[in-house]
Amino acid sequence: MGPLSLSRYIENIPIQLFPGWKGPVLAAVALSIFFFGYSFIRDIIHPYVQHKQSDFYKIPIEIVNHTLPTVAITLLALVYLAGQLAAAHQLYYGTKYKQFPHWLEGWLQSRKQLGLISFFLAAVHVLYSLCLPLRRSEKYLLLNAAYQQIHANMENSWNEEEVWRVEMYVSFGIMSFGLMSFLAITSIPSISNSLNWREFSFIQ
Amino acid sequence: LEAANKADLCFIAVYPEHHSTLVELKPALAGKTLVDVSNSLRINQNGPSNAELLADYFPESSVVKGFNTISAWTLQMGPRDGGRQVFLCSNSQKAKNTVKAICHRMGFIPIDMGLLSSSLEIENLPLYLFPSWRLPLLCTLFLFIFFYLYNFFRDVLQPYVMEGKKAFYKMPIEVVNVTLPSVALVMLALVYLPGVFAAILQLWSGTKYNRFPNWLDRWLTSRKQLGLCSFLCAVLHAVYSLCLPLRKSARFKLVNMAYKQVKAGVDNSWEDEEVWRMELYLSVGIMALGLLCLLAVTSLPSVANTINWREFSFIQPLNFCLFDVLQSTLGYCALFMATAHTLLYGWNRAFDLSQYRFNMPPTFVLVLVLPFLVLLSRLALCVPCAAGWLRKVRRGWERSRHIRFTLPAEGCHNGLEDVSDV
Repeated sequence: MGPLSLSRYIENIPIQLFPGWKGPVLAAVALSIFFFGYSFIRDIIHPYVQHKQSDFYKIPIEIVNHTLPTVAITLLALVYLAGQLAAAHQLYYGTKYKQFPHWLEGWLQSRKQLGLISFFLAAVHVLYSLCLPLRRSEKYLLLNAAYQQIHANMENSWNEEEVWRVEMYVSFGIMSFGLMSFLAITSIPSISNSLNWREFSFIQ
Repeated sequence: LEAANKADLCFIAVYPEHHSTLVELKPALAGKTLVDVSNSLRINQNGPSNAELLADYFPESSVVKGFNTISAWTLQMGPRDGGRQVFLCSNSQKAKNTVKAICHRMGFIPIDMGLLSSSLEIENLPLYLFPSWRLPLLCTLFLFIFFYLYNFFRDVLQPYVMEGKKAFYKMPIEVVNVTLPSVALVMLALVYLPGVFAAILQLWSGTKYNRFPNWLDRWLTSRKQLGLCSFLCAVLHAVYSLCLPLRKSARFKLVNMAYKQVKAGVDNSWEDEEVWRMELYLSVGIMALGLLCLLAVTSLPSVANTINWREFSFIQPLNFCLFDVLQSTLGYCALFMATAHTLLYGWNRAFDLSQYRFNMPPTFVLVLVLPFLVLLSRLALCVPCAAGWLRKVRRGWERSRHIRFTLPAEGCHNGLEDVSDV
């Protein structure tokens, strides 16, 4: 590693616990709590107070499935916002040699961790969404809808706009997840080592 | 001038076009180490590199090429992402050792590339942009566009033209979900097809010492990238298929079918054949995906150092690696499973005339041509006489030049055990 002056660095290595991850994890937890509370109030408390409708069964899966993607997309936006702020800073001072403020430096250094947490949350969101049709609540809702339709004597309940909306957003979601997993793969140390700077910045 | 006089080692951090302006410092820099960190704007195929030109300007100093592949961010923050490598080369071992020591102090890992003649290669390193991925990606794109248009004509346009049925909602998900597996299977077959061609070529010419034609060579070296593209398409196909029941269109269709069934008074709409078909093809499909995942994981650099999808037995027949044999076996199993998945999905639709809209065969028939070709040729090459010949050719036997040794057996006519071909 070099001369003895680096021994302090070596002695600190086994005591560290994910030094670069503290800020991003804190940000993710804070955002999750905020968005969970927001969805809870909107989707469960409001119907209960207004129409006495008991939707508490939605808490474990549907509310969580609304929190995860919102936190994921917010964190992803934060990753690229840091770069924009740094560019604005450089334009304002007209030079690249002025040091960034302390908070911006910290933010720029934790971009990789923010991006990886965002990818993880997005992956869990995919899993939750794929499990939505498996649930018992879904089965009961479907049977009830079938009963209503037969009772109303409607032969075709096809709603073109709803169909197109769902097809489009699911399609975009899968494509964006594919691209994010591509980004995450290039963060693996052995793969990012085999890329040169031009290739790495092209992908990222 | 003062700095050049006091220091033993100088980093020449000037643009390569301006190296000539430092000529007046030549006497001050004599006998010292100069580190050239410059980068060019475009790839230099032949002709002297910047480091060699610098060495011509300062013949008394030792020039070391290095640090040009490291970004300013990494230099400032230190190596973070799992150990950064620095490529060095120089004609003087002493100068190289000094720079290596500096590298270690900064926390980088120096890689010795040899003499200054390797500086051309080091200077070209940061300018490449995925050179080995261009052809596979182009191939994937072309196949995707072709299959998407084919499926669009068959599933969306043809019902609209013939029966006025509006099925355009199928475009974002259902048509893509038939395109992706077609691309994946065709590309997986393309990974193993050049191996078959190469084996046939070797058998035909009777020797392994003839060079392969240029196109076959390029194809053989891009097999890993073709395989990874195929894996990406397969995973996306799995995700799309898992999303099929989520959609509103699936829910509407289900409720409409329930309504029809109630009105028709049918109390059990179970169709045994359809049930079996789906259970079988889903199961085989999941297993094929699992095998492909295993293969993809083994191609990670840290899992398999320099081993790629190249069949080792071509180049060094005597010490073939167990890992390569495993990868090759896994690959053929994955191809077989994927072909079985497609066959089971098709079931008997190839024989149903109503599926041949506009005389176009169903997509899965088109897709199965290449994999069948690969699997059948592989089977043919496993037949004992063909396999024996191939093994002999790969051990070095040549049809035009082999020698027969016979033991001097007096009057013995069962010569076969006493004869060996070399």
